[in-house]
Amino acid sequence: MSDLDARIAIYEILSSAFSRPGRDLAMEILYGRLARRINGILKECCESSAGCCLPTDLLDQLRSLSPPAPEERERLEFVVDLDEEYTRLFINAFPTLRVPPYESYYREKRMMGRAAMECLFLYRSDGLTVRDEGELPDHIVSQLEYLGFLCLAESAAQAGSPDAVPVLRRKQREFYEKHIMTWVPDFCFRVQSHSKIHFYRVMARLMKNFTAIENRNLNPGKLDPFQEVMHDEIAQA
Amino acid sequence: MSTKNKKRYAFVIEISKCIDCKACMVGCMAENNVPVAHSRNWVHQKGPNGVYPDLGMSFEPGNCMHCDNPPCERVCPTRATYKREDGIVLVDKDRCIGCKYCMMACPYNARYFDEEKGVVDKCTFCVHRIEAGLDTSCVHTCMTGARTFGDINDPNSDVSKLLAMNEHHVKLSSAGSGPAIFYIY
Amino acid sequence: MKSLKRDNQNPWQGLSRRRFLGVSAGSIAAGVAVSRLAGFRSLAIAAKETADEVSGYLHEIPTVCEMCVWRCGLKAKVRDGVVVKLEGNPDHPNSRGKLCPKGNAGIMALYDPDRLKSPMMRVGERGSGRFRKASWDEALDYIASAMEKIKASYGPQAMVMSSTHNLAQLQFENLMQAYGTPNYGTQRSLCFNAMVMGFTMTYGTSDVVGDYANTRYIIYNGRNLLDGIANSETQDLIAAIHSGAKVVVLDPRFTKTAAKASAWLPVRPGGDLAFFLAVNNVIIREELYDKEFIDKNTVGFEELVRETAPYTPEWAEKKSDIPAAQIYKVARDFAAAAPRAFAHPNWRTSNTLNSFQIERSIAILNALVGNWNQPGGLHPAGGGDGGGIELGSIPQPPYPRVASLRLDGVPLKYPLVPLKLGVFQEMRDAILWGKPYQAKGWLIFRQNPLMSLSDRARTLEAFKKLDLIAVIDILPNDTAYYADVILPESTYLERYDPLSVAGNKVFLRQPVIPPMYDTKSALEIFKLLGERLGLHEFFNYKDEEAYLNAQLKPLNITLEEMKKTGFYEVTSGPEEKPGHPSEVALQTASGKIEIASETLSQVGYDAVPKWKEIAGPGDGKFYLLTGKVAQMTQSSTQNNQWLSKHVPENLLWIHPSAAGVRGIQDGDLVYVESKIGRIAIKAKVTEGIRPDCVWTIFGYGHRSKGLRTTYAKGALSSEIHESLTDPVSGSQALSQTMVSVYKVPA
Repeated sequence: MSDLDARIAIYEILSSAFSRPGRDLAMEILYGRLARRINGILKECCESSAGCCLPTDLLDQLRSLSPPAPEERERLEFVVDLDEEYTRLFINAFPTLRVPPYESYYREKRMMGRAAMECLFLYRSDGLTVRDEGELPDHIVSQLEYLGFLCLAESAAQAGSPDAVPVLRRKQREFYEKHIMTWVPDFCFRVQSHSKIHFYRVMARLMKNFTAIENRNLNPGKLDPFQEVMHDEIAQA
Repeated sequence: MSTKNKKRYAFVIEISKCIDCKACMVGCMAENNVPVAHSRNWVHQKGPNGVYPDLGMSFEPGNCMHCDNPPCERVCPTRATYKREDGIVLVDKDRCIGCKYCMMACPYNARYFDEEKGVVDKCTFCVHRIEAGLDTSCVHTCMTGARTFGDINDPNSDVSKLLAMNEHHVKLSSAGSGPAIFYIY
Repeated sequence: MKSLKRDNQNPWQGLSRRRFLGVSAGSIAAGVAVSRLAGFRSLAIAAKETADEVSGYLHEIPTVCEMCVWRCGLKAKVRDGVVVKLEGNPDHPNSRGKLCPKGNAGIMALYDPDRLKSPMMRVGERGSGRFRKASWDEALDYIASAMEKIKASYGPQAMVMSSTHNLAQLQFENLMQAYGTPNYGTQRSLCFNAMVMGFTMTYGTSDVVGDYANTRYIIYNGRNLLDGIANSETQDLIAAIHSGAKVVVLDPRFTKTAAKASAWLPVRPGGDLAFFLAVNNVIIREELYDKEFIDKNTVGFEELVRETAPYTPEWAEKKSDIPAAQIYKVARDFAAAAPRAFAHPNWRTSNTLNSFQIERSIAILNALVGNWNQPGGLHPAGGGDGGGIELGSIPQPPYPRVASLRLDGVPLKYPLVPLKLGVFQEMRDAILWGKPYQAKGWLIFRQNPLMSLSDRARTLEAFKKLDLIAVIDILPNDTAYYADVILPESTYLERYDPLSVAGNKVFLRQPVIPPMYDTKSALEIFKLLGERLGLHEFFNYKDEEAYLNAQLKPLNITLEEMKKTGFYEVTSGPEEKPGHPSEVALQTASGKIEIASETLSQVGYDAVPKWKEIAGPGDGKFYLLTGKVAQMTQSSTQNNQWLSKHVPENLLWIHPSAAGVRGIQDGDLVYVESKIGRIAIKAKVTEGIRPDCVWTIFGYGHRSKGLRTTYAKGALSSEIHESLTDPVSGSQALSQTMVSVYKVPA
């Protein structure tokens, strides 16, 4: 598995982790399939940029995502718990919604603000569209999928038109600079602070670290944002 | 070009018609994509004055006065603020460095600093609408017709007629900036 | 001269498609196999047309506003699927191309991050605030099966159903009647029961409008059109003032309307009845009435003459605090201006136990000067929900017969209150006390009874008696917090509603963008719920468009055409001509204007208005008054950031003399305490209020943390408002709660 494939796979895992959970995701977590998949990716690309920089205790957390041999009753409860937690964190909650998953909220405290419009235009200009049943353009899942898509395009370009590779890298870099880094660290921090479910805390931590690494790798020579992340995590502890 | 043919855009505001509903302010937020923390226009409540039960109260809308002799333009180090021939004073966002001198120079406190964009911003007389042949947004939404917009160099315009028929004032005339908002009380 | 390009200050310009030289649109996507995106949930490869579509094109879609109940016509400007501007529709008589601040802020109601985004089911204790996302099927099944269970065990009357005033209300009523419960809760008794009944008992209709264009003299009693905006009527008032009409405002508070009026009369709450009795007294004594009109068109004048004799302005001065000389002047000037003069019906007057008789005395004043249907006077509007236009309907079977009593005492306790109005606060009390029977379920459609009903604690107690609380709404408000199931409705910019009639035009509310979240229109929600309750035959439409097509059938327009025009004008209708009421039969018992009402005396009420003493605040206390601001609609708009920016919280208005002795300064936090509770609120010390009154805006003090913009801002008057009711009209007597005010100790 190449570095690029690993990145594509991690974007895919993160976007499915922050999509509305169904029974499938719950089972993937419970039976350890998700943990095995993540570990597989990280093991394959230990040399790659994506895996090697993750803190070791995060790697441990990822490996232990699922409790051993759940009972049938616990399994059913877990599906409901996951749903309740997703609703409470990301959709609607009393007493209050802790973690709105939209960039516009962080930057403008509203929906479909400037950030969402910019994302929409970017997707459009790259030949993508937001599905009717899809999330809003600045939803975390939309943004992760867009990055995944740019990686897929980079992968295709490597084979067919190498000239396009630097353009695609620049697109990723700009997307990180203009969007991801403006809110995703805060988003992850909020999930880590507020989620009652281990799964979301771990996924948020993975996303925070992974996006920081991505941002650093896309911006060689710039100040190492990973240091800030480590600092952030220490501050939390 | 003779001065006779030149346009000079201005507002005439009839104080007695303003009910302080602030539709002009909310409409402007939408029209000009103004950050929620700021406003490009305002309605000042004057009063209640007097002693119960003999009271008076009025409401005074306003926005950038698009002065003839704009103090904001004079102090701008990068010439980002400039005045067009038709009197509209604008900020070129590409030139603005956010030094805020203009905010201090403005006698009407009509400017704000847009933190997200890092530039100073203000009322544009909805120049994008005017150029498309529309009214400004605040005039367009005003339920009671307190605001009138037009060319005071055109004697047949609504603003010219209002000024000809009524006694009118400008704010802080002593500042000598030559504001283009005229108030009728 | 600067170049044109630099002059372009279009705020959306910077967002148009741009940059990324070297890779043209679509070519990136072309390199990626579609199958690789199979797992994507949100994004997809665009069809070629979409990719090539030039973004930034501004669509203008006509629809109808719903930021209050005035139903102004709108034009929504939509760019790239985002609503960027709302403007008034010049073709609509209620907006005439203008919008109020609330209408302008509709965008932020749509893009409020706190909106309800999917159906939710409670998972913790009621009131614990723990919910999970549910599918529509699951949530609807739950409500339907609970409603079926209630019907089977206790009868359909054990379900209470309540709704605000809105276009889908017709279908809500359809659901309720098909289900078979008589227990309909509306906001009407909290608002205008007294006005509707006072005018109906006099003129046979309450649907009357003042002819602003021709009037010379207007009297308002509590109606505050510059704060409680009714777009076109507010426009009319300012225009009338500018053409020289005299305006008299009775209000204990110096409102914005009072500021524009020729005279502000700071009337003592409840003293307005004395004022109008005395105005009538002067008009009778000085023979300023229209004798010919009265002889021809009214009944009961003699009885009024007899009964009104004691109510001199000198007497009324003591009751109302309005100088007798002023009362004489208003009476004489009003009569002199008549018939180009009207006393406005208002909404709530002073809100006392006598509200009904206050409205009657106002209705009678208009009759005395013969302004009915005269230029500059009061006109029957002939509008209402149905209007004069006959819309099509979908055939359905008759409703089941309702055999049980209503919970709110209509008609046994309140014989004259129309069923459509009801007495909402009594219904809540009946739920609490289980009398005359115990209600078991409450379906609440876009209403917030926990805030709107006085005595919030009592409403909360009533909730505990229920097996089912289901809420249909747009925002997670206080009431939703206590629900078992929450169904999220699409906002008015994302859905269809039944047609709206205004004058001789029919208007369409249509989605200007598709729903942003997993929400549905009320039309669809009621249909889905009805079907689950086995009431298919009452919801005989496939979807909203089919419903609208049926409504449009008698008219000469298709839905497709109407989506573009937004409205349809019926040209061949009966022309309305002003004339004496003899030409139009009135819907009263006598067919004439009833100055004395036989109907009223038959059920034991006063046939003509009489003075009844009501207790004042007594020493050191205040009347607690509430009202509106132009930027807010009841309790539904406080979370809107573009509006709350201007009025972030409500303040308690208090006169300097009253504040001074209590050591209260502007901005101090004070307690306001009534018999039933206490709230803390910031004081606004102002000359603009009677020294024996305090006033605040209703609708603040939200307890739901789901509303992040407005949570805990200001205080809710309903927490200390006692539930008192005018015995004739069922109107709540909001101005009869007396409070003490004192500084919160530091």
